[in-house]
Amino acid sequence: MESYIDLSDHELISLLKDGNVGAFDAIYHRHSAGMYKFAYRILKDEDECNDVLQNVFTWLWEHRHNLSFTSLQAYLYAAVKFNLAGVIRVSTRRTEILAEAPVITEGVEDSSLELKELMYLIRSFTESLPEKAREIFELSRNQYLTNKEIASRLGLSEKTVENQMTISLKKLKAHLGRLSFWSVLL
Amino acid sequence: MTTNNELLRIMERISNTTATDEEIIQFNIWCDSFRGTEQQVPGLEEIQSKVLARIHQTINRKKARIIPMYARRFAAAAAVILVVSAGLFYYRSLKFDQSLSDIAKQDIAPGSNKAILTLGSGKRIVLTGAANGELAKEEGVVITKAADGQLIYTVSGKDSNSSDFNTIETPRGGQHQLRLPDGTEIWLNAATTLKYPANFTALKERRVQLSGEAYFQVAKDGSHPFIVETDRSSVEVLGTHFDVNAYKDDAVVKTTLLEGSVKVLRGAVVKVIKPNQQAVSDGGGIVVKEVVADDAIAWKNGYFMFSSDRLDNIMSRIARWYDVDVVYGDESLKREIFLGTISRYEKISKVLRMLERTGTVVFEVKGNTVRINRKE
Repeated sequence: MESYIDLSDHELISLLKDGNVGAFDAIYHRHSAGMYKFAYRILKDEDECNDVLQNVFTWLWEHRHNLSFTSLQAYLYAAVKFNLAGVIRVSTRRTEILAEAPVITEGVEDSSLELKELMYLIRSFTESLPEKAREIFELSRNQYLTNKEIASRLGLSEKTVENQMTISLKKLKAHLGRLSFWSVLL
Repeated sequence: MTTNNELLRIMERISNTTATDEEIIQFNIWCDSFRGTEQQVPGLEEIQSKVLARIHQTINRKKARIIPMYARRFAAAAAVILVVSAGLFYYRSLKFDQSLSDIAKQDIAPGSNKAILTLGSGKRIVLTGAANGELAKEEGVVITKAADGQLIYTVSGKDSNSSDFNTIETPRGGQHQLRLPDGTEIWLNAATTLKYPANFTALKERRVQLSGEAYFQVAKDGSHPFIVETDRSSVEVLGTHFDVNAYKDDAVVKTTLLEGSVKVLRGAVVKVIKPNQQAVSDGGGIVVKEVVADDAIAWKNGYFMFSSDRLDNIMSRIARWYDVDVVYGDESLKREIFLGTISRYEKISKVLRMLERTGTVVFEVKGNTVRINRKE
């Protein structure tokens, strides 16, 4: 058995896909500190950050067979950001968290890869939906249409649209699982 | 400039994937705006270890169905309740023997949850995965299996003598997890025996006897110190997480601390250790070393982990878990150093093949015996 420290992220992912726990741990040891500190800067709460870290890595393991990204680090941070959105939304401290934001600076270049991965993470779900369901979902997303408006546009009953959205959102919960935080979804 | 309400709305839409590209960009910028200032997190390394352990529990729960852990609180009462997690149980025979002809042709399966519970009366109960509902009723002990696989033991405190002891024993190739009525959780490794008082709650000290290896998560109780006795030392704690490795056929007893603080005692010698320290005691005294505590408890999370271990130490762990004998073609091989991690739930061939990849050794498995030779 070799030392995992010398392997590249790419090699570790390769091993991870085979279910290699040592590689998984090596990825954790390599990236978790940075990820934690990043989340902590925003959340400033140990329990919430522990949850974020646990969610992202458990999700990584569970989806190890269909991982696809250019940079592991960007992917992990994108997953953290995605999870953060969910955590902050339902946090009892959200006002406090949002109040802490420093002045928004323009042109933060280094995270363009993360942005790409974040977008992919978010989009990949709808890409997995059947055509009609996807159409409904995207009308709701891209054009801010209400169920009534969507029903009218597609010639469906409002009830059908409602049901479709319910099913899609349930699938979404299954797909993104622990990365998303759902208190009241529908 | 995005208002806080707008931000919350964007976060909601990101969570349910209905966010537009613009919204995702805005959110990303917001996240990144926090970067640039160095963030110190106190106790980060401990946090990292703790979270990794939790991740492994979740992963292994799905892989080998070993845990579910109950978060229930037990009220101190006359009835002493023992919660033993069932997970993957199977019952071979009281002697736990294996069929040799199978193994010669096939691979050797890893260990699994197996144990025998012996009551104070001498009655032995083999733990087995039977149907749900009441499994047995023996001398004041009612054993039931809950729908989620948990085995629940209820012992009526009125009937048992406060000096009665119960013993739980795992064979080679076995492991088990149990929870004492005070909330203390104990993971037993293979070839391990743990003796504990039947009527726990009435005693001043929570004293147990261990031979083999167990990982303890002791429930805090300042007025009742928890004491683990082995043949060569004892460990006294108030509430903490630690591993005790005390196999009689090993030269030393090792106590490794993850969280909290414990006293290790041997005769007149007393040493207090801190997290990531290990107390090693042999016939003589006690030596304290700095270690990576994760290595010592990796077994409880479902894998073998060695950071520079001798082959003979590695093989004795493998031997106990797979219930095999080890024969060295070349004695000097025992001192060879290996490093790595592999799941305990693989068949033995997978573990041995990984050791072989170092190009140092070659294994041959015949029946229950593993022969190790130097690679030419």
